[in-house]
Amino acid sequence: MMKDIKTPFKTINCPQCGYALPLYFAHTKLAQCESCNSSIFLEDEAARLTGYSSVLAPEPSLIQLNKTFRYKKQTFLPVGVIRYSYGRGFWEEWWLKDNSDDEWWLSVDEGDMVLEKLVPNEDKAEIFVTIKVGQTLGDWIVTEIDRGECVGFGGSLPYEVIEGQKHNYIQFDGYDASIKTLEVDPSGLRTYIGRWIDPFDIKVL
Amino acid sequence: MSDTKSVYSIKCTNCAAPLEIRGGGRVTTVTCQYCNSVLDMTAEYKVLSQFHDKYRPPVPFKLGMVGEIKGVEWTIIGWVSYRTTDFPTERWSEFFLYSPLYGYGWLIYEEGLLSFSKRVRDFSLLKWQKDGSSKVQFFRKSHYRLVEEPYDIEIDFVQGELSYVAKADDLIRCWDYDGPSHKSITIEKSGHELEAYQNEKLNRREIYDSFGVAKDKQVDEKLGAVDSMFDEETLEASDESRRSFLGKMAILIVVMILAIGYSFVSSKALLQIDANQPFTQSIRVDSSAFLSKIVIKAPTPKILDTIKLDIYNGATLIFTIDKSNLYSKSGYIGKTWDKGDDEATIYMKLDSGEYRVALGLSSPLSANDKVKIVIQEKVMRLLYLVIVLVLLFISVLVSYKSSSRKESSEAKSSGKSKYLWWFLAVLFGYFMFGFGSMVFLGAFYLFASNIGSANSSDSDDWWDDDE
Repeated sequence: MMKDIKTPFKTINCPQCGYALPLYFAHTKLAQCESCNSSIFLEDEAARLTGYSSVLAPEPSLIQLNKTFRYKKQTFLPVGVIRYSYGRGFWEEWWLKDNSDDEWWLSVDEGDMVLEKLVPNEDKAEIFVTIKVGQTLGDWIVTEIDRGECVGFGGSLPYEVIEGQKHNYIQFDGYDASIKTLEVDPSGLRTYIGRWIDPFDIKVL
Repeated sequence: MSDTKSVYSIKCTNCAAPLEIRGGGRVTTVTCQYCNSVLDMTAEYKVLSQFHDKYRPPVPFKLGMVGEIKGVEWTIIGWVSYRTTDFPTERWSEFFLYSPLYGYGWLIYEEGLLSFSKRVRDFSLLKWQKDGSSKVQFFRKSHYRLVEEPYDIEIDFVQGELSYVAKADDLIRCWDYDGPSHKSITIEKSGHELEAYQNEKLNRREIYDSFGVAKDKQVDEKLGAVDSMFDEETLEASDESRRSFLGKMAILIVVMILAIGYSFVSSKALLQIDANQPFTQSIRVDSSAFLSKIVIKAPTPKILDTIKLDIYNGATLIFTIDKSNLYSKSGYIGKTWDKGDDEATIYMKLDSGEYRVALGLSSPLSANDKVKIVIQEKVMRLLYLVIVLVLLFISVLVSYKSSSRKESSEAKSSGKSKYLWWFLAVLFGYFMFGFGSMVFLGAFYLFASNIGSANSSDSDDWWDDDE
């Protein structure tokens, strides 16, 4: 029998209010308590309270925390979200679990969606100093270099984020319409590879 | 996404007119409806440029209208009017749409024809550039064909919010690719920007109703050159005609399959004799449908070479075969058997009537050496049916391709398709039911084509002509 996608890997209790928090991945590092909005840092089986985080202001979105959706033949459960501001607006990065317990990231910005997977880094953080838009690196061309500011998070995440933290990124386009993103923030450099997806292909379940 | 969920107002920094902002976080400019100043929303609404004295085309849509396209609610937040550089009188408007859930899109309006356009990020522009903007593109499991040579367009008029800085007379180079299901792709190149859009024709009535366009503002007329690009009026009609076309095709194939099945039980033996001496026998052909089949079988090739078979209609020799000759009064039907053969099969057309079959032998046969003569009527040659089926299959493919393409040559190809259909029908009728049916179909075609041409002035639907 297939396991329910909403079945958590394990459940912990909020050290502040005792509320049961579902964790969907073993390497979850940060969770927000749905009950008291405490930020809980998870380290070596221990749950450490890092303070309170503001609740994300509700915004209209196809993707909602803990509400499954289908993209083509795959079902996804959004388990966490980070919202970044670029001044006039914001974009969101959703941490997803699929029905094979694999993790994905979905970037949502005004109807533009990119579905990506975390891959091992092949570049160094110093690339952010030298790279320019339009520059070609192998089969990739740099299409965007920008930064955002974390304005909040929800659910659970695989690394620590702090409100107000700057988030630098480089976006590359590939010849086969694929996309690569390099991100750097105090928690380190991360590389993601994926594809643009059509929001009309998303079916909220 | 926008930090603000609802509409808010600002004052134009040039003329102080109130401007409503509706369009999410990615809009960068707003053009004042009163003084036509383009304001930079990323730099305290600084005036970037102006669209003074620009032609404001009459359109049925206006900023702030809300309507549903593809099941999603969109708000019109901006308006750009374009003209082509080669034909500056050719103008159309594109309305910038915003949905908090689906982002941005465009409602394209051209002389009453409507389509929806959305930027597609998964079209590989890098590959497109690398391939030298080739004439056929493959995108989302479909092929798209370049409609015409690339052309240049200019921005003519701007109003409301946009996600880029529009300047009067900005030059944009476009490549249009037509695909299936009323979809197309447009590649736009301007300055340093290169973008791909997927377009889809819309039902005009539904969009007018959904956006609340007043009846007296709804434009129905189409003009000249735009018809071939955005022939929205025939959108439903062409869907219907394609369904009708495929339905009739399916019926025809079913009829053919039934005919093949029928042929196996319909054939009737007129003569079946094992002979070792000459004979003359009368036969009667009841039906000229399908073909008649003559089989001559001998124990050895040497014996077959002694045979001469004649068929007479009254006193007229209509068929004869021996080791040297094969003759048919109705025309060439092939050559006689080869040396070494011990059997010959001939298919020919015999009209209904009385016939006399005469077997001759150039040397007598022994009592044990008998030749078998079989004559059947209403026999169908599967080879002919296979040819007709292949032709039908090709015609389906050609017709389907041509109907899915919205090229201006569609009328011509549908005309060709019409003749192909009649040709196949006549061919089919001839093989199935004989010469009489061919004459009947020919006469019916002349009758029906007169009705068709009378109706064609009332309808744009090419299928009407075929009927």
